[in-house]
This record gives sequence, C-alpha cells and structure tokens, in this order.
Amino acid sequence: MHPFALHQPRDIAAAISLRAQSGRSDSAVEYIAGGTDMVQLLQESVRRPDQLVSLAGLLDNRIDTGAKGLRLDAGATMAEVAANPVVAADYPVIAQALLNSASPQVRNQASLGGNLLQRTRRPYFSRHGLFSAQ
Amino acid sequence: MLDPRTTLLDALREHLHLTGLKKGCGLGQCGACTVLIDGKRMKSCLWLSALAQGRDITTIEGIARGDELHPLQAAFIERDAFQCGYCTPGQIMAGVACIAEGHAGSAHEVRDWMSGNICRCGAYDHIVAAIQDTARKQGQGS
Repeated sequence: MHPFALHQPRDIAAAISLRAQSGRSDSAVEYIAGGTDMVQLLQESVRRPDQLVSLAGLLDNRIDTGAKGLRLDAGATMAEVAANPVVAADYPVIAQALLNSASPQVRNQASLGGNLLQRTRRPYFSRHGLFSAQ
Repeated sequence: MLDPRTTLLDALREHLHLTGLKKGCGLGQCGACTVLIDGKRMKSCLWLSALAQGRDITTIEGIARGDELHPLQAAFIERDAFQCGYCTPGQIMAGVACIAEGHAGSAHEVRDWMSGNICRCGAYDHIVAAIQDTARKQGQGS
C-alpha cells in the first residue's frame, strides 16, 4: 500500500476543502467512507493517494420514506436500506438488489454513496501496471 | 501510534496479538477475519484501524464465558463443522451474528446469510447444521 496521510475532518466543508486544495491532481487526495471498495483499491495499489480523507460520521444516513417518494442519504449502509420495512414493502426491487449484492458483512459497512461511486470492477482495469504506462 | 495503512485485522493480530481471527484473502472475500463492530459483523481486513477508533470490537476470543464455550462454538464441535479450522473463527463470528439477526430460519436462509464466509474444505453442510442447532435452542428456526 502506498503511504498516505489520513485526515478525519470535523465537518463536510473541511472535507471538501481538503480535496479542493489538491487542484488538478485529484488522484492525490481521495475520500474514504465505508471503505469496502477503497481499502481493496489501496491494498492492490490501484489507487495511490498521498492523502486520504475520511467521511466517517459526516454523511447523512437518513432513509426518508415520505409520500413524495424515497430519499436515501449517501451515508446509509446497504444493510440499513435493505432492512428498512418500508423499502422492503414498497420498493422491493431496491431491497432485493441490495440483498443480492456483496455479503452480509460488506453490506453492514458499505455506504450507498460509495457503492454508486465504486471503481470499475474488472481485473484488467484494477491490476496496477499491467496496462498502464507507469 | 500505528501507520495509517494498518488494517483493523493487522492491528488485532500483529499488534494486540489476538490471533483468533485469521487473515485469508485480505480483500474482503473470504470472511476469515470476521469480527463484530458495535455488534454488527464486518470484515476487519476492509477497515483501516484508525477509523475503527472508539468502536466496540468483539473477536472470537470474546464470546466464550470463561471456560464455558459459546453455544455456537460447542455446536461446531458437536457437528464436526470444520476440517482444517482456518475459516472457523470467522464462520463462528458470522454465525453468531446470523442467529442474532434472525436469519437462521431454514438451511436455505442460513446459506444465504453465511455467503460472506468461504470454507475451502467444504464443511458447509455441518456449518449450516451447527448454526441451525444453536438457533433452534434459542427458539428460532425449524
């Protein structure tokens, strides 16, 4: 794993500011939320950030099942959404899709935001150095 | 002070010498490193240890009461639910959570909810039986 400095900012504004400071070299500063995807990418040196910014405790994690529809916050875990009784009853495709993903352990840890922002999961894409010029 | 790259798995095994949990793949696929974090089962290889600060972590060392095995540990012996034993601590921690979550109703359900733990010896039938025995004793399942 490439060495990095770990930041645990107190609020979202500080987290955004840390990333903004990196300017164009955005791969030098990366975010980590649940970590199920990022830790694997770090372990395999697919991502090699110099700084890692934790979003733990900073993302909203509400599951809003009001009359207007369903609103899922980025910090909700896959397990929390799948286990929500209203989601399971009124939006079964979402609950079923989540329960068919990963494993119970990973679903307990993985955030919805990170899930949507997962890097491409392909061996030829992830294998560092295989097809890259570096 | 640990290097920020230290995973929770390595912190527990290499620094705290809690060697019950095992390192298998290190990439969240095999489940040998399963622990409970704030009561929920997780794969400790996917956690940076610094981000687990302040959380309540239970490893396989923490489930027996003194010399009295946890009921699921006893059921694994009773059912001969392992061969080499390498995946067993992770299987038991995941099994404890599987029962606590209420996901041990049928063999099919147990298999579904134990999908995060691989056993290369193929002791699955006995693992499922041990989990079902324990769940039944707690008034769950059929």
